[in-house]
Amino acid sequence: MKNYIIILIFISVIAGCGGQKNPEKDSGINLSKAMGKVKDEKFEKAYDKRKFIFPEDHGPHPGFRTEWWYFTGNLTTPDNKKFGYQFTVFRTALSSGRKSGVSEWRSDQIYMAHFTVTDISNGRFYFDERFSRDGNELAGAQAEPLKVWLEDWQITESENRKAFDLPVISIKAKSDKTEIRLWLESVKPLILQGNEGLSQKGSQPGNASYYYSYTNLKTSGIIITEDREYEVNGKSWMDREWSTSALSEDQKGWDWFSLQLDDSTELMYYQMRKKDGTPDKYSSGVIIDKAGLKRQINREEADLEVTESRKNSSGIEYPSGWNLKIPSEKIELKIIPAVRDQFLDVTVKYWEGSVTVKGKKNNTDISGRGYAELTGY
Amino acid sequence: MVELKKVSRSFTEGNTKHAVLKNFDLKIEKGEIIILLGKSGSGKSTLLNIISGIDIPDEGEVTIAGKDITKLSEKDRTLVRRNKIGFIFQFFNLIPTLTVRENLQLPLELTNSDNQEERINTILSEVGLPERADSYPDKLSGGEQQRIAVARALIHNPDIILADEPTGNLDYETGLQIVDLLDRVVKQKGKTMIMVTHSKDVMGLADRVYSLREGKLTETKKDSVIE
Amino acid sequence: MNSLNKSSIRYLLKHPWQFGLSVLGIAMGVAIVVSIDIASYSSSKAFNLSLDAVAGKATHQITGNSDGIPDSFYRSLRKDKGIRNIAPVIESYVSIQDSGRRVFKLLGVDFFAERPFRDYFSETDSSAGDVFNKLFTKPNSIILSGENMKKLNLSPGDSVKVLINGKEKYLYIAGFIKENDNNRSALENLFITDIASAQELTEKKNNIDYIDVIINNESEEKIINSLLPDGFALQKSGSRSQTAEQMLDAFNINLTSLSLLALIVGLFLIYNTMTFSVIQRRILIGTLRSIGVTSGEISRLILKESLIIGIAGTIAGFAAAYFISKYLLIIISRTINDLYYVVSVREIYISPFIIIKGISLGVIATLLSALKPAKEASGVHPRSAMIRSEQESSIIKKIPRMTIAGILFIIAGAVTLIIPSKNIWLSYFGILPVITGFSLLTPLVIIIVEKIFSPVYKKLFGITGKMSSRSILQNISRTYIAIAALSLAVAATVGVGTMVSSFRSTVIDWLETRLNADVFISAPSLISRRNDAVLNEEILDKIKAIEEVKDYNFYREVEIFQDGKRYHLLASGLSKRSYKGFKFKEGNPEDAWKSFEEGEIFVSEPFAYRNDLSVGSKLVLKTDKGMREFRVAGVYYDYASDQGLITIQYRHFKEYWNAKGYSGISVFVKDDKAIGTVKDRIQSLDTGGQQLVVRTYKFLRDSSVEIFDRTFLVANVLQILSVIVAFIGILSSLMSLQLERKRELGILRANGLLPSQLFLMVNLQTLLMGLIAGLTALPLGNILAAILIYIINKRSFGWTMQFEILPGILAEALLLSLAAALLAGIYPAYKMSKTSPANALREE
Repeated sequence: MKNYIIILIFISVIAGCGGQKNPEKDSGINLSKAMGKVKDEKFEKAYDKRKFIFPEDHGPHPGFRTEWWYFTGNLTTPDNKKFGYQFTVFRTALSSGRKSGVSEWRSDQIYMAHFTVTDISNGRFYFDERFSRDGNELAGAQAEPLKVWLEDWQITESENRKAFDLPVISIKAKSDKTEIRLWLESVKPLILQGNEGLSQKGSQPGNASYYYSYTNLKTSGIIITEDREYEVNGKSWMDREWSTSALSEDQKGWDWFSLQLDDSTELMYYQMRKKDGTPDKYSSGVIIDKAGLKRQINREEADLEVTESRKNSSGIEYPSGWNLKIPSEKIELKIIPAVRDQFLDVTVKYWEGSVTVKGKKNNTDISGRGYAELTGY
Repeated sequence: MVELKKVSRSFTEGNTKHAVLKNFDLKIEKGEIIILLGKSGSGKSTLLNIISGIDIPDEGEVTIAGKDITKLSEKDRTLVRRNKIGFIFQFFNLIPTLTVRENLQLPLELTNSDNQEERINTILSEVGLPERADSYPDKLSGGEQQRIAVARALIHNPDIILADEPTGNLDYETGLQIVDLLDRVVKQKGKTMIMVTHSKDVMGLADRVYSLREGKLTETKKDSVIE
Repeated sequence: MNSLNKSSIRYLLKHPWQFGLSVLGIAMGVAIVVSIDIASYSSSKAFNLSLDAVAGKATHQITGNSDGIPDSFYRSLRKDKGIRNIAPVIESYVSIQDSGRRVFKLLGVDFFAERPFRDYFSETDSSAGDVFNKLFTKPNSIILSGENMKKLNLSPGDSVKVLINGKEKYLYIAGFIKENDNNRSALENLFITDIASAQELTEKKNNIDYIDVIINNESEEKIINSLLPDGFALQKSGSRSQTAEQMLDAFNINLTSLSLLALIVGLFLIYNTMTFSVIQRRILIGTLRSIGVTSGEISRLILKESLIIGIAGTIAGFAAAYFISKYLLIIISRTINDLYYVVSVREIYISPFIIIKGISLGVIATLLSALKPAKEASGVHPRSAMIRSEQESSIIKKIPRMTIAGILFIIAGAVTLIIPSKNIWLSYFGILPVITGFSLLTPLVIIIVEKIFSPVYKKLFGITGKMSSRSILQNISRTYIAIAALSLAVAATVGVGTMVSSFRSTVIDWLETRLNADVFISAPSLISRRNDAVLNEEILDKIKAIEEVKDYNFYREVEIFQDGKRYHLLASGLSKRSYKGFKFKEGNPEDAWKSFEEGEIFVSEPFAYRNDLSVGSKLVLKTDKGMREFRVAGVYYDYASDQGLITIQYRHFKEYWNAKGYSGISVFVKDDKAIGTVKDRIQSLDTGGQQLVVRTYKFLRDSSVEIFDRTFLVANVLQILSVIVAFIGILSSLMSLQLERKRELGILRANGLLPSQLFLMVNLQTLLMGLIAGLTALPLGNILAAILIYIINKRSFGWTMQFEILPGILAEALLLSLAAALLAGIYPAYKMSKTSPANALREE
C-alpha cells in the first residue's frame, strides 16, 4: 500500500540530498505535481489481470516503475516483552529503457529501504533509512534463489525449503542502536489482493498495481536494541506490490491496517482520504480465514472512525486510536498504537507502527496485533 | 650659582695639543651678569660649552646650582641644561619648521611647564612681538628672530642664560634693541647671564667683564673697555 | 602632538621628493614581497580548496595500487562488512577545448554515498529530481556551479566537447548547483558526475581511484586497516594537500628570496634618505640638543620619522601588491601547471601571515634601517648649533675600517654558505653578509675610481669636469650609499640573469642528449612537464608496424603515494641505443645498465639529493604486491622534475605493478628524410578516439625550452621590479644630493657658471656614479650567480648546472647602471640649472 509514497520519496531524496527539509513535501499538491513530471509512457502498466508465476514473481519487475518487498511483524520474547518491526525494500526505475554504458556502476534501478523496531515494553521506537543503486551490486533483487538486498540489509533464502510457494526467508538488518536477525516461514497460502491480484488505485486504466500478500508468516529470531539481545517469536506479514501508477488529483493520503487476530484470521483494510477529508471509493479491505481463504471488503461495508488524535514530536497531528466496524462480518474493533510515537522522520515522513487490537467478533471478545500506516497528514 | 674650579680643557689638532683652558677658576653669583671678551679661538665658546654641559673639561669641577656636572652622565647633563639654562645663539637657531609660538612652546614642553599658553603670550609681549606668534622664523627679520630667541631662552624660567655673541649677526641698531631687551628681561628678572661678545654696546649690562687670553681669565674694568 | 613631532612632520612635508621617493621605494619592496606571497599562497590555496572540495568531510582515504581500487573491494566493504561511512571517488581532469583550454576537475561520485561527505545540493530548485534522474540515466551527464555554467555559456540540456585523457568526449549538462558562501570556492573548478559516467569517461575498467572514509575513532581505523589487501593504504585526508605543498616548497622559497632582494634595495633607500635628513639637519639637531633635548629624544624623533615612511610605504605597498599579484598569479599558476599539478586560480587569497609578514618587513625593516641614521643624529653635538655650517663628518677616515669590515662580512657570508646544510633559508641568510660586505667596499672603489677619473674628467671637461668627479668624493658619505644601492640592484640582475642562462644552457645540453629519438608520441597532457594521460598498449603495436620505424622506446609513469610522499616512477622500455642519453653522476655506466636490466633502479640527481641516496642505497617502494626493496644502480642527471624521478626497467616494473598502458613512446626512424612521413603515419593511425601528440625531436626540444623560459618568467619580472626600486633609490639619492648642494651650486652660478655647464656638471657626476656602481656590480653579480647555482639551487632542487660568465649580461648590466644613473640625474640637473642663483643663496 505504499505505491504513492514511494514515488514521492524518490523525488525528494534527490532534492533533499543536502538534508534540507521542505515542509511542502508532505502535501498532496506537490505529490501530484512530482508524479506528473516523471511520467514515462514506456513503463509497463497494470492494465489487466495477470497470471502470477512463482518463484519468478518474488523477484523484481524492472519494466514497472516501482516495486517493494514489505515485511512487518509483532514479536514476543519468552518473558513476554513485546516488539514490532518493519523492514521494507523499495525499488524504483528511473527510466524504462535499457541501461547504456559499460560501467559496473551504471544503473537506473534505485533501491531504498526502511527498517524500524518498536520496543513496545520500553516504549521506544527506532528507525533508519538507506538508499543505493543496483550498480556494482550494492543493492538488488533476484527471484531464485530469492535475494533482496541493500548493502548489508538483506532478505535471503535461508533454507532450501518452501511453504506455499515461498522459501523460508531470513531478514538481516542492522542500524546504530538496533538489529534484527529473523527467520520467516509462511503458514498460509498467499492471497491475491484486489481483483485476482490487480489492485485498482484510480479510475484511469493502468492506474493499478499487481499486489499479493502472505498474511501469516511464523517468525523467530533475535532482536537487539541498545546492545541487549532478545530471543523473539511471533507473526509477520508480507506484502508484494509493483506498478506504474499515478495518483489521482483529489487523493491526499491513506490509513492502512494489517491486523493479525488471535483466532488465526487476518484483516487488512485501507481507507483512501480525499482532500476534502472524506473517504475515497477506492478504499477497500480483505479478510482471511483460518484456512487462508479471503473475502473482499468494500468501502460501503466498513466504517473507520478516528477516536483520538495527537501531535507527534514534529508537530504533525496523527490519529492515535480508531474504531473499525464491519457489520457484515460482525466485527467491531478498537485499534490503538502499541507505542504512541512511531513516526518515521526520514526523507518523507510518515507514521507506521505496531498496533494492538481489542474488540468483538461474532459477539465474542477478540484481540490481536498488527501494523498501521498513516500518510498524507 | 656657577663655579668653575681648576678647569682645564685642551684639543688635539693634527699632532699638536692645544690648551684652550688652563687651570681655570671662575665663580659667578646669582643674578650676576658676566661678559667674556676674547679673540676668536681664545676659548670663549669652549667655556660656554663647559658651563652648559655640552662639553666636559679634562680636569676640574663645574658646579651649576650646587651640582658638579662633570660627574653627571650625558643625559643628566642634558637635563640640567634643559631645566637650568637658556641659550641665545649668534645665528638665532630657531627651528625653521615651527612657528614662533611653537618655538617658544618647545622648552616649556621639555620641562613639562604649566600655563604654557599664558607664558608664551606674556613673553611675546615682553619681547614686543605678540603679533608674530604664528609666523615661521623665515618670515621674521634678524632682529625679530633674535628677540624670539631671547624669549625662548627665558620662557622656561632658567636660572642661567648663556649668550654666544647675541648681536654678532645683527646690524648696529638692531643690536642695540637686543641689548635693551636683555637689559629689560634678564637683568630685571635677576637671572645670571654669561655672555660672549665683541660688542662694546653690551658692556653696560655687565657686572663684571673678563678677557680670555691663552687659557687664562683676567678681569677687565668695564669703563676701560668702554673707552 | 608636541612641538618636536610637529617640527619633524613639517620637515618631511617640506621635502616631498626625498621622502616621497623613500615611501615609493619601500612601497615597491613591500609590494613585490607581498604580491609574490599572495600569488603563491593563492595558487596553493586554490589547489587545497579543490582538494577540500573533493575530500569534503572525509577524514581518511583508502588508496589502492597503481590501477586504483576494484569496484568489488568497495562493494565488499559495504555489502559484506557493513561499513557505512565510505564513498567511492573517481577524479580526473577535463579541458574544454573551445573555451581557452580551461581545465576542470571531474569528480565522479555515488550520490547515495555522498551525504556524509559532500554537500552539493544544499540549494537546488524544484527540477532537482530531473537533474538526478539524468545523472543516472544519461551517460556523461554532469552538474556544475551556476557561475561556471554561465561563464562557459552553457545551459542545462547543452553538451560540451571536452578532452579527457587525450580523448574527445561530450559532456551533457544535467543541471547546475546554486552557489552559496559555503560551496562557492569548492565548486569553482568542479564538474560533478555519477561514478558510472566517470568510470566510462576515464575508461577505468571496474576500478575507482580511491575511497573516502569518515573515521571517528581508532577502533574503526583498525577495522578498516585489517580489511585492506597488500598495496592498499588508509591515509589521512590532509596528506594529499601536504605533499602538494611540499612539492612547491622549494619553488616558493626561491620566489620569496628573489622578492626579498627587492626589499633589501628598498631598505638601502630608507637608510639613504634618513642619513641625508640627519646630515641636512645637523644645525637644527644641535640647537635642539643645546636647549636641552636629550640624544635619546633625538634618535626617537628620527625613528618616528622613518616609522611614518615605513607605514606609508607599507600601506602603498599593499595596495600595489593587490594589482601586481594578479599578474604574478597568472605567471605562477602557469608554471605550477607546467611543472607540478593542475590548478586553476581565479581568486586572490590573503592570509594573516602574509599581512603580518608584509607589515613587519615594511615597518620593522624600515625602523632597523633607520637605526644607524638615528644613532648618528643622536650623536650630533650641541656644538653644531654654534657653527653656521658644518662640513659633513667625512667617512674618509673610516674607509680603512669599512674596508676591513667589508672583507670580514664577505668571509662570514662565505663561511655561512659553505656550512653543509639542506636548509635553504640558511643559504639565503649567507647572502646577506656578502651583500653588506660589498657595500662596505664601495667607498674604497669610489676613491680608486675617482683618482683615475679626476684627471680624465679635467682633461675632457675642464674645471667643471674636475668638480663633478671631486664632489663624489667630497660627499662620499652620501654618494656611496646611492652607488651601493644601484650596484646591488644591478648585481641582482646579473646574478639572476647569469643563473637562469647557465641553467638554460645546461638544460638544453641535457635535452639534446636525452631526446635522442626522432619522433615522440604521447597523449595530450594537462601538466606540460609530465604525461599524466595514458596510451593503450595496442598503439605501440601499430607504431612498431610502420615500415620506416627502426627502433622504439616507451615508458609508463606512475605516481607512488607512500609515507606522505609522492614519488614519480618511470618504467622504461628503452632500446639499447637510448642508453647513451643517460649521463651518470654516480655509478659506472656499464655496471649501472647491467644492474638496471636485472631489476635495480636508477634515480635522478634531485631524487638522490632529496632522499639521501647514492649508488648501492636501498629504496623501499610501495608496489601493487606490497612493499618491496630496490637497490639504486645509478644516479643520473635529469632536469625534468625538481621532485626527482625513479627509473626502472619496464619488464621489472610489470612484475610489481599492474598499471597498464604507456605514458609515452618514442621512435627511431630508419632514414632521417622519413621523419615527416612517420609522423604523419602515426598521426593517421586508427587509435579508437585516442588523441595523440606526435612531436619531432626539434619540436619537443623547442617546446621544452619554452616551458623552461616560462618557468623563469617570474624571475625576470622580479628582476625588472628590483631595478625599478634601485632606480627610485638612485633618483632619490641624487635628488637629495643635488638639492643639498643648492648653495654651492648657487655660488658657482653667481660666479658665472652657465646653466648648461651646471647641467653638464651634474650629469657628468651621476654618470660617473653609475659607472662605479656598474663596476662593483659585475663581480658581486657573478658571485651572486655562483651562490645561486652552486648553493641555492643545489640545495633547493639538487641540480648540478654549469656556471657560465656571460659577457652579454655583464655589458647589459654596465649599460643598465649607467643609464639608470644618467636618467636619475637628469631631473635634478635640470632643476638645479634652472634655479636662480639668488634663490639658491638665500637662507633656507
